[in-house]
Amino acid sequence: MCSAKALLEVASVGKRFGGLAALTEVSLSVQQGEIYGLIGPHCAGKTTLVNCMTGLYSVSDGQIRLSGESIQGLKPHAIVQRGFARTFQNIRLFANMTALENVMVGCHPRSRVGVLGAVLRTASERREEREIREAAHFWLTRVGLNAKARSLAGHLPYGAQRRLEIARALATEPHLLALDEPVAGMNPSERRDMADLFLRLRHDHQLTLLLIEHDVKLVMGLCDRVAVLDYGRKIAEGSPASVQKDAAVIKAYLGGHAA
Amino acid sequence: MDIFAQQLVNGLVLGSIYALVALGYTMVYGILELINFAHGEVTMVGAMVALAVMGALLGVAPDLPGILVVIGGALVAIPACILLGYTIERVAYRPLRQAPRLAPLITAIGVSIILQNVAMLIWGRQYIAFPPILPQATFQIAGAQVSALQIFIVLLSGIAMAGLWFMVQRTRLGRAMRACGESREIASLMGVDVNRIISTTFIIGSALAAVAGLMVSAYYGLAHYYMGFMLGLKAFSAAVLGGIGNLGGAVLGGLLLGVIEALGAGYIGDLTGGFLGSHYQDVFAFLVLIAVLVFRPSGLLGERVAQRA
Repeated sequence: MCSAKALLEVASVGKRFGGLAALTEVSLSVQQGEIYGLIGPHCAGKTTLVNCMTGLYSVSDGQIRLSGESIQGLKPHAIVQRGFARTFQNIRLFANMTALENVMVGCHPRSRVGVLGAVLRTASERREEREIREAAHFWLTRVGLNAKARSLAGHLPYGAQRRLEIARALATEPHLLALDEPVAGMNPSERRDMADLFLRLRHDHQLTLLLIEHDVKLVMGLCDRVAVLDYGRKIAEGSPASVQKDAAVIKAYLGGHAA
Repeated sequence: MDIFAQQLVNGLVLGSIYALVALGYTMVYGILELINFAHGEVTMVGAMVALAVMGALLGVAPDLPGILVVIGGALVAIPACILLGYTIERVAYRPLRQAPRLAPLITAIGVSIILQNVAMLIWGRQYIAFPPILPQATFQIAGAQVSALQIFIVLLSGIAMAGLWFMVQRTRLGRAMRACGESREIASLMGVDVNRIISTTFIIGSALAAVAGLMVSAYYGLAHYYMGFMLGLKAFSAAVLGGIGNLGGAVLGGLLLGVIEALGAGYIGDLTGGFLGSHYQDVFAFLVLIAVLVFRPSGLLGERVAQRA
């Protein structure tokens, strides 16, 4: 599995919460530049796996490597600094800050000036502040939100909040972006717009995308490869077409476990 | 002399000092939902260190201009308080970050008692006088007598508060602080080193406390190992009055509390027919605290409690 260009490798990862095994022996590898789909029924462990990858949870077993280096035990901010950003299933913006400020927070790991510079207003502080502002406008423009730069994030409509989360994550300048149910609650035309956005982002910024989704149609149309989780185990992996025909997957989605 | 104008001025001066200390409480609360009860003692240490340094300076060079002596005191007291505030957070609060909220509250009280006792061991139980080195000029403004020191206190507090506001609203550090205030978890997932931001918050709050400690000892002309307790309690009341967690609220609360207290002290004799004297002024701070907690628990500028919970 250790192909030369694996950006993210998950090796036999397990996660237990007390007696509950949320993830068991999950292995997958995301290649540089692909759109990798992570699907599965509700509560299959998809978000748990992303939380383990981004340092929110520590894994109980196994290894997670980013660009060949172990990221286990690193704090979330250190993982972001290594180029792995994410969005959230339930939108988690800084609601009392403007859209622009939200994205500017995302620029935080790519800038340096600390308390002394801020107090003394050094020339480098002013220049960096200007650069951060420009970068934030750039990312807002990319997701089509620059006109709303001054609105409070909490006041934006739902779809705009989803886009703002993506802009904020992009501002950390990731190589790998995990999108946790980015089109949940959107109508079909909004979903198509988002899919277009993902393709453009991958093309323009050499981005690798990890797409966690319920919406099978979106995943099948967009992803290069797909892994299917069910009850915390990987039950299938491969091209969208092959996964769609997989007996275990069909069983999981049609509720075969009841039988 | 007009009592109202005079007490208003006194109240504003006292209020600016409360506001500086209250900012320290409210900044920490805004990020950690923790009430740093040791903050009043940090103020006390600032005053004590400054007075000790000033005494030493005057011992070596008695002819040094007063203003330089005070600056010398501040230049030692501010780093000392910064170090103290940083250490308190590392030792007493960070290990308890995941603990129930009562635990860091107890360690805060513990730290506060330790600091009082250490200060008592070093500087003794007696009051320490502020050396008479500051200019004594006074001015008549709108029927009130205003001293140069009072003007200086209000100006310096104003500059410190404006600087803090600018930093929080307009700089990378301030944005990260606000982001941590909204959600430490999400801020860390956007690459913000939360522990570093928390340390910085304690450092800034402690530097303000050192300045406030020096100002309050200059204003009253003395310092004492126990002075941090009452000052801290009042500044905390001011932060609650304004809405804890809200920077503008801390400033508003501090100024209001100072004015209420001064006016109360000025008129309490008349109101009670001489039964209660002006030394009951402390009553007002806590009457205000109780009234706020009963009628508007989230404070004047605070969010509704339901939003926070």
